[in-house]
Amino acid sequence: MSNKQKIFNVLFSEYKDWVYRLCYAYTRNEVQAEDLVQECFSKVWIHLDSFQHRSNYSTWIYRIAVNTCLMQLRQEKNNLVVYSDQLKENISEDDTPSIEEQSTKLYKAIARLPEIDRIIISMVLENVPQKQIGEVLGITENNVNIKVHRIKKQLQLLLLKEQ
Amino acid sequence: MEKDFEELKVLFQQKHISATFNEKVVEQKARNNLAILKRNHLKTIILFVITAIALFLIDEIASEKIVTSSYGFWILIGCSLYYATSKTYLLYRLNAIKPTDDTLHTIKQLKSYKKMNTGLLTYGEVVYTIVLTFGVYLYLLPVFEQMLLDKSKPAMAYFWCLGVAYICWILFYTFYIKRKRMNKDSQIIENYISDLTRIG
Repeated sequence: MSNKQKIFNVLFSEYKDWVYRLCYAYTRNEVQAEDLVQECFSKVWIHLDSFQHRSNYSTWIYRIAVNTCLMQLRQEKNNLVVYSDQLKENISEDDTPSIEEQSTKLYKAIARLPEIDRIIISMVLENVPQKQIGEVLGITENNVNIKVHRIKKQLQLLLLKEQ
Repeated sequence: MEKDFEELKVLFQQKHISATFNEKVVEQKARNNLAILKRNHLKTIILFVITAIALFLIDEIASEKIVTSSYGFWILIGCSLYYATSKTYLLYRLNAIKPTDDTLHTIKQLKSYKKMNTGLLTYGEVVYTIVLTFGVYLYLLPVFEQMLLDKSKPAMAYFWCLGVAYICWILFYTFYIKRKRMNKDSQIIENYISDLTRIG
Protein backbone atom coordinates (compact mmCIF):
# COMPACT_ATOMS: atom_id res chain seq x y z
CA MET A 1 0.00 0.00 0.00
CA SER A 2 1.42 3.40 -1.01
CA ASN A 3 1.94 6.23 1.47
CA LYS A 4 -0.83 8.22 -0.24
CA GLN A 5 -3.22 5.36 0.13
CA LYS A 6 -2.36 4.96 3.83
CA ILE A 7 -2.99 8.65 4.53
CA PHE A 8 -6.19 8.55 2.50
CA ASN A 9 -7.51 5.53 4.40
CA VAL A 10 -6.84 7.22 7.74
CA LEU A 11 -8.53 10.46 6.60
CA PHE A 12 -11.47 8.50 5.21
CA SER A 13 -12.13 6.54 8.39
CA GLU A 14 -11.56 9.63 10.54
CA TYR A 15 -13.80 12.07 8.67
CA LYS A 16 -16.33 10.05 6.67
CA ASP A 17 -19.10 10.36 9.27
CA TRP A 18 -18.43 14.04 9.78
CA VAL A 19 -18.58 14.74 6.04
CA TYR A 20 -21.67 12.55 5.75
CA ARG A 21 -23.50 14.48 8.47
CA LEU A 22 -22.58 17.79 6.85
CA CYS A 23 -23.85 16.53 3.47
CA TYR A 24 -26.95 15.02 5.02
CA ALA A 25 -27.77 18.25 6.88
CA TYR A 26 -27.38 19.98 3.55
CA THR A 27 -29.38 17.58 1.35
CA ARG A 28 -31.76 15.81 3.80
CA ASN A 29 -31.44 12.78 1.56
CA GLU A 30 -29.28 9.75 2.39
CA VAL A 31 -28.52 8.73 -1.21
CA GLN A 32 -27.58 12.25 -2.26
CA ALA A 33 -25.53 12.70 0.89
CA GLU A 34 -23.57 9.51 0.12
CA ASP A 35 -23.01 10.72 -3.44
CA LEU A 36 -21.64 13.97 -2.07
CA VAL A 37 -19.37 12.15 0.39
CA GLN A 38 -18.06 10.13 -2.52
CA GLU A 39 -17.51 13.30 -4.55
CA CYS A 40 -15.81 14.98 -1.61
CA PHE A 41 -13.39 12.13 -0.86
CA SER A 42 -12.69 11.68 -4.53
CA LYS A 43 -11.48 15.32 -4.48
CA VAL A 44 -9.45 14.56 -1.35
CA TRP A 45 -7.76 11.69 -3.24
CA ILE A 46 -7.09 13.83 -6.32
CA HIS A 47 -5.65 16.77 -4.35
CA LEU A 48 -3.86 14.79 -1.64
CA ASP A 49 -0.52 15.03 -3.48
CA SER A 50 -0.76 18.83 -3.53
CA PHE A 51 -1.61 19.17 0.19
CA GLN A 52 1.04 21.53 1.55
CA HIS A 53 0.44 21.27 5.31
CA ARG A 54 -0.39 24.99 5.54
CA SER A 55 -3.48 24.00 7.48
CA ASN A 56 -4.61 20.89 9.36
CA TYR A 57 -5.94 17.95 7.41
CA SER A 58 -9.28 18.60 9.11
CA THR A 59 -9.55 22.23 7.90
CA TRP A 60 -8.53 21.08 4.44
CA ILE A 61 -11.19 18.36 4.35
CA TYR A 62 -13.83 20.73 5.78
CA ARG A 63 -13.08 23.18 2.96
CA ILE A 64 -13.46 20.45 0.36
CA ALA A 65 -16.69 19.26 1.96
CA VAL A 66 -18.18 22.77 2.20
CA ASN A 67 -17.22 23.67 -1.37
CA THR A 68 -18.52 20.34 -2.65
CA CYS A 69 -21.86 20.83 -0.90
CA LEU A 70 -22.27 24.42 -2.05
CA MET A 71 -21.20 23.85 -5.63
CA GLN A 72 -22.40 20.38 -6.43
CA LEU A 73 -26.05 20.54 -5.58
CA ARG A 74 -27.02 23.99 -6.77
CA GLN A 75 -28.96 22.69 -9.76
CA GLU A 76 -30.92 20.23 -7.67
CA LYS A 77 -32.15 22.81 -5.19
CA ASN A 78 -35.78 22.27 -6.06
CA ASN A 79 -35.55 18.53 -5.41
CA LEU A 80 -34.16 19.17 -1.96
CA VAL A 81 -37.27 21.05 -0.95
CA VAL A 82 -39.33 18.04 -1.99
CA TYR A 83 -37.15 15.70 0.07
CA SER A 84 -37.52 17.86 3.17
CA ASP A 85 -41.27 17.94 2.75
CA GLN A 86 -41.51 14.19 2.16
CA LEU A 87 -39.71 13.53 5.43
CA LYS A 88 -42.26 15.56 7.33
CA GLU A 89 -44.68 12.65 7.17
CA ASN A 90 -42.18 10.13 8.54
CA ILE A 91 -42.15 11.57 12.04
CA SER A 92 -44.65 10.10 14.47
CA GLU A 93 -46.77 12.26 16.71
CA ASP A 94 -45.75 10.38 19.88
CA ASP A 95 -45.43 12.54 23.04
CA THR A 96 -41.98 11.13 23.83
CA PRO A 97 -40.11 10.95 20.60
CA SER A 98 -37.23 8.48 20.32
CA ILE A 99 -33.63 9.63 19.84
CA GLU A 100 -33.98 8.73 16.16
CA GLU A 101 -37.09 10.90 15.82
CA GLN A 102 -35.51 13.79 17.69
CA SER A 103 -32.48 13.52 15.46
CA THR A 104 -34.73 13.55 12.37
CA LYS A 105 -36.49 16.66 13.69
CA LEU A 106 -33.15 18.35 14.23
CA TYR A 107 -31.98 17.59 10.69
CA LYS A 108 -35.33 18.79 9.37
CA ALA A 109 -34.98 22.06 11.25
CA ILE A 110 -31.44 22.48 9.92
CA ALA A 111 -32.76 21.90 6.40
CA ARG A 112 -35.01 24.96 6.84
CA LEU A 113 -31.99 27.23 7.39
CA PRO A 114 -30.38 29.11 4.50
CA GLU A 115 -27.72 27.01 2.74
CA ILE A 116 -24.59 28.61 4.16
CA ASP A 117 -26.12 28.65 7.67
CA ARG A 118 -26.71 24.88 7.38
CA ILE A 119 -23.02 24.42 6.73
CA ILE A 120 -21.98 26.66 9.62
CA ILE A 121 -24.30 25.05 12.15
CA SER A 122 -23.22 21.56 11.04
CA MET A 123 -19.64 22.49 11.85
CA VAL A 124 -20.67 23.96 15.21
CA LEU A 125 -22.62 20.80 16.06
CA GLU A 126 -19.50 18.78 15.23
CA ASN A 127 -17.53 20.85 17.77
CA VAL A 128 -15.37 22.46 15.10
CA PRO A 129 -13.70 25.50 16.75
CA GLN A 130 -14.93 28.86 15.47
CA LYS A 131 -11.40 29.81 14.43
CA GLN A 132 -11.32 26.77 12.17
CA ILE A 133 -14.79 27.56 10.75
CA GLY A 134 -13.42 31.00 9.88
CA GLU A 135 -10.44 29.39 8.12
CA VAL A 136 -12.74 27.12 6.14
CA LEU A 137 -15.01 29.94 4.98
CA GLY A 138 -12.39 32.68 4.73
CA ILE A 139 -14.01 34.99 7.31
CA THR A 140 -12.87 36.26 10.72
CA GLU A 141 -13.52 34.45 13.99
CA ASN A 142 -15.57 37.44 15.18
CA ASN A 143 -17.76 37.23 12.10
CA VAL A 144 -18.25 33.50 12.71
CA ASN A 145 -19.16 34.18 16.33
CA ILE A 146 -21.88 36.66 15.34
CA LYS A 147 -23.27 34.29 12.72
CA VAL A 148 -23.24 31.27 15.04
CA HIS A 149 -25.14 33.23 17.69
CA ARG A 150 -27.81 34.22 15.18
CA ILE A 151 -28.08 30.75 13.62
CA LYS A 152 -28.40 29.08 17.04
CA LYS A 153 -31.38 31.33 17.86
CA GLN A 154 -32.95 30.63 14.50
CA LEU A 155 -32.46 26.89 14.93
CA GLN A 156 -34.06 26.91 18.38
CA LEU A 157 -37.08 28.72 16.91
CA LEU A 158 -37.34 26.20 14.08
CA LEU A 159 -37.13 23.32 16.55
CA LEU A 160 -39.94 24.86 18.60
CA LYS A 161 -42.05 25.06 15.46
CA GLU A 162 -41.30 21.41 14.70
CA GLN A 163 -42.66 20.30 18.09
CA MET B 1 -29.74 27.43 25.97
CA GLU B 2 -26.11 26.13 25.97
CA LYS B 3 -27.24 22.94 27.76
CA ASP B 4 -29.93 22.42 25.12
CA PHE B 5 -27.36 23.00 22.45
CA GLU B 6 -25.06 20.33 23.90
CA GLU B 7 -28.00 17.91 23.61
CA LEU B 8 -28.45 18.94 20.00
CA LYS B 9 -24.81 18.09 19.35
CA VAL B 10 -25.41 14.56 20.64
CA LEU B 11 -28.53 14.22 18.47
CA PHE B 12 -26.72 15.57 15.43
CA GLN B 13 -23.87 13.08 15.83
CA GLN B 14 -26.28 10.13 15.91
CA LYS B 15 -26.21 9.91 12.15
CA HIS B 16 -23.60 7.63 10.55
CA ILE B 17 -22.78 6.69 7.01
CA SER B 18 -23.80 3.20 5.90
CA ALA B 19 -21.30 0.46 6.72
CA THR B 20 -21.14 -0.63 3.07
CA PHE B 21 -19.65 2.70 2.04
CA ASN B 22 -15.90 2.18 1.76
CA GLU B 23 -12.78 3.92 0.60
CA LYS B 24 -12.24 1.54 -2.34
CA VAL B 25 -15.37 2.87 -4.10
CA VAL B 26 -14.24 6.46 -3.53
CA GLU B 27 -10.73 5.75 -4.76
CA GLN B 28 -12.16 4.22 -7.94
CA LYS B 29 -14.38 7.27 -8.48
CA ALA B 30 -11.39 9.59 -8.03
CA ARG B 31 -9.41 7.64 -10.60
CA ASN B 32 -12.39 7.80 -13.01
CA ASN B 33 -12.75 11.56 -12.47
CA LEU B 34 -9.08 12.07 -13.24
CA ALA B 35 -9.39 9.95 -16.37
CA ILE B 36 -12.41 11.99 -17.57
CA LEU B 37 -10.51 15.24 -16.97
CA LYS B 38 -7.51 14.00 -18.95
CA ARG B 39 -9.80 12.70 -21.71
CA ASN B 40 -11.49 16.13 -22.04
CA HIS B 41 -8.12 17.87 -22.40
CA LEU B 42 -7.07 15.30 -24.96
CA LYS B 43 -10.33 15.73 -26.92
CA THR B 44 -9.72 19.50 -27.32
CA ILE B 45 -6.15 18.92 -28.50
CA ILE B 46 -7.20 16.13 -30.90
CA LEU B 47 -10.03 18.31 -32.27
CA PHE B 48 -7.55 21.09 -33.04
CA VAL B 49 -5.02 18.72 -34.62
CA ILE B 50 -7.74 17.08 -36.77
CA THR B 51 -9.08 20.49 -37.90
CA ALA B 52 -5.56 21.67 -38.77
CA ILE B 53 -4.78 18.43 -40.67
CA ALA B 54 -8.13 18.66 -42.49
CA LEU B 55 -7.42 22.27 -43.49
CA PHE B 56 -3.95 21.35 -44.77
CA LEU B 57 -5.37 18.40 -46.75
CA ILE B 58 -8.22 20.45 -48.22
CA ASP B 59 -5.74 23.14 -49.18
CA GLU B 60 -3.41 20.54 -50.73
CA ILE B 61 -6.22 19.08 -52.85
CA ALA B 62 -7.83 22.43 -53.69
CA SER B 63 -4.54 24.03 -54.70
CA GLU B 64 -4.14 21.43 -57.48
CA LYS B 65 -7.30 22.71 -59.16
CA ILE B 66 -7.49 26.38 -58.19
CA VAL B 67 -5.20 29.01 -56.76
CA THR B 68 -6.25 29.46 -53.14
CA SER B 69 -5.33 32.42 -50.97
CA SER B 70 -2.54 31.66 -48.50
CA TYR B 71 -3.72 34.60 -46.34
CA GLY B 72 -7.15 32.99 -46.12
CA PHE B 73 -5.60 29.64 -45.32
CA TRP B 74 -3.50 30.98 -42.44
CA ILE B 75 -6.44 32.98 -41.09
CA LEU B 76 -8.46 29.73 -40.96
CA ILE B 77 -5.59 27.92 -39.20
CA GLY B 78 -5.33 30.88 -36.79
CA CYS B 79 -9.07 30.72 -36.06
CA SER B 80 -8.81 27.03 -35.33
CA LEU B 81 -5.82 27.62 -33.04
CA TYR B 82 -7.64 30.46 -31.25
CA TYR B 83 -10.71 28.27 -30.72
CA ALA B 84 -8.69 25.39 -29.26
CA THR B 85 -6.54 27.60 -27.01
CA SER B 86 -9.48 29.67 -25.74
CA LYS B 87 -11.39 26.48 -24.83
CA THR B 88 -8.32 25.00 -23.14
CA TYR B 89 -7.71 28.25 -21.26
CA LEU B 90 -11.32 28.38 -20.00
CA LEU B 91 -11.05 24.76 -18.87
CA TYR B 92 -7.76 25.57 -17.15
CA ARG B 93 -9.35 28.54 -15.35
CA LEU B 94 -12.27 26.39 -14.25
CA ASN B 95 -9.98 23.66 -12.99
CA ALA B 96 -7.91 26.26 -11.15
CA ILE B 97 -10.91 26.79 -8.83
CA LYS B 98 -9.69 24.33 -6.23
CA PRO B 99 -12.15 22.74 -3.80
CA THR B 100 -9.42 23.12 -1.18
CA ASP B 101 -9.56 26.94 -1.20
CA ASP B 102 -11.59 28.84 1.35
CA THR B 103 -15.07 29.92 0.34
CA LEU B 104 -14.34 33.64 -0.11
CA HIS B 105 -11.40 32.82 -2.37
CA THR B 106 -13.69 30.54 -4.39
CA ILE B 107 -16.11 33.46 -4.90
CA LYS B 108 -13.29 35.66 -6.24
CA GLN B 109 -12.15 32.96 -8.66
CA LEU B 110 -15.71 32.26 -9.82
CA LYS B 111 -16.33 35.96 -10.48
CA SER B 112 -13.13 36.25 -12.48
CA TYR B 113 -13.96 33.07 -14.43
CA LYS B 114 -17.46 34.37 -15.17
CA LYS B 115 -16.03 37.63 -16.52
CA MET B 116 -13.58 35.77 -18.75
CA ASN B 117 -16.21 33.27 -19.93
CA THR B 118 -18.72 36.02 -20.77
CA GLY B 119 -16.05 38.08 -22.56
CA LEU B 120 -14.90 35.17 -24.70
CA LEU B 121 -18.42 34.06 -25.53
CA THR B 122 -19.65 37.54 -26.48
CA TYR B 123 -16.99 39.95 -27.77
CA GLY B 124 -14.52 37.13 -28.43
CA GLU B 125 -17.09 35.20 -30.42
CA VAL B 126 -18.08 38.23 -32.52
CA VAL B 127 -14.42 39.02 -33.37
CA TYR B 128 -13.83 35.30 -34.06
CA THR B 129 -16.83 35.17 -36.42
CA ILE B 130 -15.77 38.30 -38.32
CA VAL B 131 -12.18 37.04 -38.71
CA LEU B 132 -13.39 33.54 -39.67
CA THR B 133 -15.80 34.97 -42.26
CA PHE B 134 -13.02 37.10 -43.68
CA GLY B 135 -10.75 34.03 -43.80
CA VAL B 136 -13.39 31.93 -45.56
CA TYR B 137 -14.02 34.77 -48.02
CA LEU B 138 -10.31 35.19 -48.80
CA TYR B 139 -9.76 31.45 -49.07
CA LEU B 140 -12.69 30.94 -51.42
CA LEU B 141 -12.17 34.15 -53.40
CA PRO B 142 -10.66 32.29 -56.39
CA VAL B 143 -13.67 29.93 -56.34
CA PHE B 144 -16.07 32.87 -56.21
CA GLU B 145 -14.26 34.51 -59.13
CA GLN B 146 -14.69 31.31 -61.15
CA MET B 147 -18.36 31.13 -60.18
CA LEU B 148 -18.96 34.76 -61.11
CA LEU B 149 -17.64 34.18 -64.62
CA ASP B 150 -21.01 32.64 -65.33
CA LYS B 151 -23.39 35.61 -65.23
CA SER B 152 -26.53 33.59 -65.91
CA LYS B 153 -29.52 34.08 -63.57
CA PRO B 154 -29.45 30.59 -61.95
CA ALA B 155 -25.71 30.84 -61.30
CA MET B 156 -26.07 34.30 -59.71
CA ALA B 157 -29.05 33.15 -57.66
CA TYR B 158 -27.07 30.13 -56.44
CA PHE B 159 -24.15 32.36 -55.48
CA TRP B 160 -26.30 34.83 -53.54
CA CYS B 161 -28.32 32.06 -51.84
CA LEU B 162 -25.07 30.52 -50.64
CA GLY B 163 -23.86 33.87 -49.29
CA VAL B 164 -27.14 34.76 -47.58
CA ALA B 165 -27.43 31.26 -46.04
CA TYR B 166 -23.89 31.54 -44.66
CA ILE B 167 -24.57 34.98 -43.15
CA CYS B 168 -27.90 33.83 -41.66
CA TRP B 169 -26.30 30.76 -40.12
CA ILE B 170 -23.34 32.65 -38.69
CA LEU B 171 -25.64 35.32 -37.19
CA PHE B 172 -27.96 32.68 -35.73
CA TYR B 173 -25.03 30.66 -34.35
CA THR B 174 -23.18 33.64 -32.86
CA PHE B 175 -26.06 35.67 -31.54
CA TYR B 176 -28.55 32.97 -30.60
CA ILE B 177 -26.99 29.54 -29.97
CA LYS B 178 -23.76 30.85 -28.42
CA ARG B 179 -25.52 33.57 -26.39
CA LYS B 180 -28.01 31.01 -25.09
CA ARG B 181 -25.15 28.77 -23.96
CA MET B 182 -23.37 31.71 -22.37
CA ASN B 183 -26.50 32.84 -20.50
CA LYS B 184 -26.97 29.30 -19.16
CA ASP B 185 -23.32 29.16 -18.01
CA SER B 186 -23.57 32.61 -16.44
CA GLN B 187 -26.78 31.71 -14.62
CA ILE B 188 -25.21 28.62 -13.05
CA ILE B 189 -22.14 30.58 -11.94
CA GLU B 190 -24.32 33.45 -10.73
CA ASN B 191 -26.30 31.00 -8.60
CA TYR B 192 -23.11 29.57 -7.06
CA ILE B 193 -21.88 33.06 -6.29
CA SER B 194 -25.19 34.17 -4.75
CA ASP B 195 -25.07 31.12 -2.45
CA LEU B 196 -21.49 31.69 -1.48
CA THR B 197 -21.67 35.46 -0.95
CA ARG B 198 -24.08 35.02 1.94
CA ILE B 199 -21.11 34.35 4.20
CA GLY B 200 -19.63 37.83 3.59
